[in-house]
Amino acid sequence: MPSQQLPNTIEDLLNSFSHTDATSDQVTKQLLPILRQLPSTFFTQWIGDHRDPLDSLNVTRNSLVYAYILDARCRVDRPEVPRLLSRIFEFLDKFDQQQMQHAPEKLLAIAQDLSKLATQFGNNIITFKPLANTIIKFAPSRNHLTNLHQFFLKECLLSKFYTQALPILEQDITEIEHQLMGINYLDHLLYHYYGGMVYIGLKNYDRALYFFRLVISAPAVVTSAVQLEAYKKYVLVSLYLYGKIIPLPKYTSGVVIRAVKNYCQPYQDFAAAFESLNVKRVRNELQKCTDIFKKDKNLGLARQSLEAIFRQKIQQLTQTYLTLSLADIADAVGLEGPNASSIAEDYILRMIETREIFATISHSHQNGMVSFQDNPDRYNTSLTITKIEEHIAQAASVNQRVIKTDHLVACSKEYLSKQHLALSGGMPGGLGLADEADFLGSGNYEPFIDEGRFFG
Amino acid sequence: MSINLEDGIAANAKRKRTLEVCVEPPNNLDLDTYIANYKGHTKVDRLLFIAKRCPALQIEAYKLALQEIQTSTLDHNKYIAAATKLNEALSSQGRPLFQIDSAWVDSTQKRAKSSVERLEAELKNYKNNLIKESIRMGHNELGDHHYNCGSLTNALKCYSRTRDYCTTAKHIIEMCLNVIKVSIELGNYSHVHSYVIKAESTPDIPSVVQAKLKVAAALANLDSNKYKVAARLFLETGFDLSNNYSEVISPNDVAVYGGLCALASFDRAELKSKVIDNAEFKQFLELEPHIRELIHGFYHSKYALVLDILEKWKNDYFLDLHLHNHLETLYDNIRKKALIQYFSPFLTVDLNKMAQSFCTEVPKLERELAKLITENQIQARIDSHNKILCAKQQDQRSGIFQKSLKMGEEYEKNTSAMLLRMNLLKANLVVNKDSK
Repeated sequence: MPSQQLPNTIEDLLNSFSHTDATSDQVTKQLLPILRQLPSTFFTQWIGDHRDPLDSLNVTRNSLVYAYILDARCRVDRPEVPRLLSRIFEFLDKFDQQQMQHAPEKLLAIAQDLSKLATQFGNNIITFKPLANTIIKFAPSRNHLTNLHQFFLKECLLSKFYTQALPILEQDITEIEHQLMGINYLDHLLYHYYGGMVYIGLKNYDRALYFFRLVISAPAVVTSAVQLEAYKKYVLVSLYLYGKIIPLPKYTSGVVIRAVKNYCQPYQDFAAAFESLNVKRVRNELQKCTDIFKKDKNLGLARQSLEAIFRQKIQQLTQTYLTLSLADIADAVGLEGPNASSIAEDYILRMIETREIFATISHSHQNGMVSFQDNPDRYNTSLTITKIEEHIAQAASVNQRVIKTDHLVACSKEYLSKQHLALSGGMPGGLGLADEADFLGSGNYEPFIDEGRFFG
Repeated sequence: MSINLEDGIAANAKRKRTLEVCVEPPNNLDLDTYIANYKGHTKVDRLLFIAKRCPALQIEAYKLALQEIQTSTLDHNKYIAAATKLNEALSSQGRPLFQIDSAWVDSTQKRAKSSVERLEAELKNYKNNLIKESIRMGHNELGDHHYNCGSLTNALKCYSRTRDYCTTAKHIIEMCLNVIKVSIELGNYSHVHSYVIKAESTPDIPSVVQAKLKVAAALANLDSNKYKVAARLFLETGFDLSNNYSEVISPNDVAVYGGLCALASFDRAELKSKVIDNAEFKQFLELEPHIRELIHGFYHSKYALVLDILEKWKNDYFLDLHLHNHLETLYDNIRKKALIQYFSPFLTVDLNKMAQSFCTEVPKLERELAKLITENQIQARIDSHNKILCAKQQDQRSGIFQKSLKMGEEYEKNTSAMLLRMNLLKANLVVNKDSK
């Protein structure tokens, strides 16, 4: 039936809706089924007298059609790269968010086209900013996940432009609207997995850990390979930061925990060796696992965590000693070799630089003496106030979202019907229990039931 | 930290080793007076234990044990085993062998067998008559006999069977005490626990029995390394115990076990209120004056004296049936306690002086202190260069700032994660096979 309405040429198509308001819902609903049925060759046609159909379209008002034409053109054998690029940039800049929400997959397709073309053009740096902006524009809020997120991060990872991903990554994802954004669980897993990897690249291990944890603790009835890979990295990052595996959240799915036990044994063995803080044992274990780590492409990370063991031990020494000679430190930490104290000095210097410890090294003595100090930050400067205010603001914004969610839950059909069930289940005769009568307010029972039916 | 770990392993290994270790001749132990405090099975067990571990006292101990077995039990198996061991020891020293009294062995063997038959027949008879009290008595007698012959599991069975025929509180207590006695000998301390509780729940317990129960519970706790509970129970033991429980423990033991456990687990205030001011326990301490001295020395911070006494008596305690494998841990804990207490009033302490009063060297002391600091038992830091121990000045304000900032971050992260999870569930984005 709709096939009869299919336009024959692109001109027909343009004419068929040009007289209505293209942004209205109605049109999108009629238009989209038509667009979806047309073959891609249809969109590569030109209008009669060799005019470009795109010229006659308004990017914002006719975003959907524009997107279909663009995508089809990018997929021909030899696209005109420079012109198409500028078209795409224009499109990404001006497209109508609401229209594209009806066809999120097209937006993703265009983003993919863009990367492909830019690579052919030999310069994919130009794509990052527009893509980031597109994500921000497309998502209903900064906390929404879109289908573009994981693709964008993958691009950043592949071309090692980690910082480009930051504006997107810094916003925690809390909102999911899978119908609008055309996403499935893989989008969520991959986004956070890639995000964790980007943060590792940026040496922001804390945040990387958080991202991996989100992946592992995602609701699951079977285990995804992404989750296993995330767990492997989670273990290593966790060791790097804290010297032990930080326990996973309680709500982590049991299937995942079991799968992790079965498939990530070498990592858990490595962690066990690490927790003993016995340098020799860790080295042995690393030797044993080298092949596996290499295969998983985690060897570099594992090596870094081995270094972390020394830093952690030095950190511990600061709690125990006020002054200690470099030789003693090297001994206590487990460094070996003829120049152990100079390696120890190296570590300490780096740790002082990163403000992990506060210490001074004096070489007026024979071996070099290190005096450890407390954190000189007394928290009595305006800097502290700014920092705290910042945190409070962040916490407040999170709180806002919680309140909003709470509200939504309270209004939701499921919640209300459950409430209704609980009430009527407890009293088949229609008589309220004492405490529930309190909750309803005395005598207000009838209207509440009506409300329940209304929603149910 | 590797130091800690190795120490821990060493301590464990040591504990295992003490089972077979040979102890040098003890400094203070007089075997005759020591063993005179006991009777029955524990006397034999203790003698055999000493004989096994202390070559110097071996022969004497075996002889005493054989004598005791012959006079007070019917345990011919143990007799033969001990005699063979004695002969091994004698022959290795080139001394004339001990003559096994085979007439006694034969006669006891026969006697034991006929007794069992007789008692079992009687019991059967009682059971046919359905007189509860007689059945209980029959089980008890059979149990006593098995106990006498050294077949402890059978004895335990008989004693526990009397349970169904107990009619008065007195019977229950009797049954419990019997089971406890056998279980202690078997080393089955979980049994001891439950039967002590059972006995204590009966009304009108005589004070002697109460003391016995306390001691039994204390031994059970000692065995499971719960030194503090054990100490408390030993300290609550009434002096009525005196020599009434010598088939298990002597009052001297109560003083020693209680004193050491208390030192290892109590803080100073508890030591004062529960040990030094404890009139009942004082009477026990009179029996072992060195323990009293030890506790007072510890309380008055005379650590050199304390360590001296501990060192002097160490070998003796290694020969104690119940104490031997806890000794290292107890000593370690006492030493730690002493170090902590020594430092508590000071801001800074010269390590040299401290090492002197603990009779040790500075590097060793430093390591000990470092361990205590990492365990967070002492709030201090070591100035390794000047060899000074300095108390840590804690800045509460900074601490609070640090803590609250961290908590805020945690809160943010966790809430975000939960929100995401909720929304994922709501959108049904669950990792699943077919939702791809």
